[in-house]
Amino acid sequence: MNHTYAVITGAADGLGRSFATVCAKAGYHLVLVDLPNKKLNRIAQHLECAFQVKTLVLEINLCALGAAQKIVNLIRNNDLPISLLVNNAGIGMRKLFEDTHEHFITEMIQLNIAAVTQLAWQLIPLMKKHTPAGIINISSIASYYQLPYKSVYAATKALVRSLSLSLRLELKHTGIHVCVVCPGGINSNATQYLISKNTGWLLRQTVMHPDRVAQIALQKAMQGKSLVIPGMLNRIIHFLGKLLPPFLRERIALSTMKMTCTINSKASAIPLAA
Amino acid sequence: MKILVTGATGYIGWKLCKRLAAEGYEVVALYRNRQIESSIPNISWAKGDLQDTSGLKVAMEGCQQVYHVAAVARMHTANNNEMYATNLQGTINVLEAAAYNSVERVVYTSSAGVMGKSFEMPLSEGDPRLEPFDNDYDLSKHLAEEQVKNYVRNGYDAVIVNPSRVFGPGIATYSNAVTRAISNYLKYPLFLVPGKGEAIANYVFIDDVVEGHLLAMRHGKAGENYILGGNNLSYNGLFDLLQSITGLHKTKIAAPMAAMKTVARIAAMLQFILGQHPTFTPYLCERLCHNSKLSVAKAMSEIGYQPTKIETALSITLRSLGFKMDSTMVPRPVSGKTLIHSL
Repeated sequence: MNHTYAVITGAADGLGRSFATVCAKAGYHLVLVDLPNKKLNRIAQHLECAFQVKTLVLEINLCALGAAQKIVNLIRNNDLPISLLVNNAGIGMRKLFEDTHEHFITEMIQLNIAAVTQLAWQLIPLMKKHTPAGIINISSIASYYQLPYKSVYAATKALVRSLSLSLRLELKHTGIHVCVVCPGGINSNATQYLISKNTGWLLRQTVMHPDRVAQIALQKAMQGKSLVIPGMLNRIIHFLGKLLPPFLRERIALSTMKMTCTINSKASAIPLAA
Repeated sequence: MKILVTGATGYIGWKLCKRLAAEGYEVVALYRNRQIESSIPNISWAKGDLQDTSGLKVAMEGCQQVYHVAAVARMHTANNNEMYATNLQGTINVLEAAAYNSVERVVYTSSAGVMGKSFEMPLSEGDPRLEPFDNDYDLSKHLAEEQVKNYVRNGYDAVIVNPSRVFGPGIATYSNAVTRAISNYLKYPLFLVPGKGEAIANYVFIDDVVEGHLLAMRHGKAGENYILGGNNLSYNGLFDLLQSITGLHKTKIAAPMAAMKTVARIAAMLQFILGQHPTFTPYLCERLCHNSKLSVAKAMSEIGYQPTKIETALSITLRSLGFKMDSTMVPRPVSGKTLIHSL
């Protein structure tokens, strides 16, 4: 039984909720962070009851200034031993850069980049006291590609990957292991489920259950892996993608993105949130 | 009072029609293809399709209450969009027709499936899902619930009920799977339980579901959900109960997940070749091995719902399946371990 805490952002649904479950199963107590009004308290209660762990819930918007500081204050005030940070919260996009609202872009950069970076910076000193410790940052397979319709998203995820790999070297002898996860498609919420249902056969095969992704990520991070691409098919496609001549890769990226990002409710009876 | 019931030829719908008729209401039973032969005087049949809003408006004329029970109640359909067309758009159409006819209240029959799996603690109405939506049935019912709540926000009146796994005498439809399992228990010497048989789910007697519908119509708060459930039981617990009630000794066989999935894959492939609906899929295997414990506390306190004792409900079901119950036989007490009550 582990007596330390794992901090998980975006824990109310999708991959974050799966990380919360997998970490609780592994015996971590939990600090769960997500936006207000997502019933995070109830999720925490279910996890406490099922896995006999302690939980603390913090409902804040990580895009807000000083959000990382609030998490650290909570940890300090309760004197919690932290040994794992799962930087999971993030938002995606499926729109042309020009058509995307400026405010949305700012928020995405704030959440996907600033919050991730600041949280790592703030928590590293605390985690040094409870080694062996770990940071799991969630990047994306998108971080490797030039992706129209996901331009800002892919760029933010590239930063997360780059930051993580550098940090890993810096922290190598401190007892804090940094691992970056680059998942492909995940059935993380209703919209993702409906999108993946309407894509091509091959893409549908790559979509993974968030529980599975979280399970693989935690296991590989524990084994000391620095970069994890969950799913054999994702790894194969990624490998083959690297072999393709750039012009072909770009064409495939463009047509795939066009197909998945322009699915709308007109095409079917399915109502898709933008 | 005139009441319209959609899905009147289904397992729950038909029971509901008969109950309403017995209470003296004038029932308009909506059907698509074939009506049920019956001599009940105050049930009248109306042919209609959920896709046809104007037809629904006509059928609903003069009705004060609507029970919207109709749905595609299976996990997979040949055409992916069929589920959304019927369960989601169909509900939107029913609500539109109800608003048009100034219906006093609509009771929408959702499913406990929208609540997803549970861990150890039973799920209540206010709980968030603990797993993502990963099948069209749950999602289409969830999206339909959103539409019902929207309808209430627009000033109309509707209540949502969420039955769990329903069993009991009635029409043997595909969705009446628990009764089928009980019938198989009587028929065959072997009783198959998924996984280790430890997964706990909630089982509810059909009469309680019907009663719950009426209670929700009478006492439910607009826009609220009510879980219509019964006991939380593992497959092993259900098997033990059947043994003790019938006194029949059958052999329980645990079907390991891997074996079940292999069978399911082959079955799905065969059904695909034969052009049938996939009925038993690897996905369903996993689902059968999840806990889905539910709490009926809210329905009990707010609408006066009172589920039947499981022993009684199973006895009635067994009798309806042709099992001769020895009237002097008292069910052996079942150990507390196997019988996990929902409260």
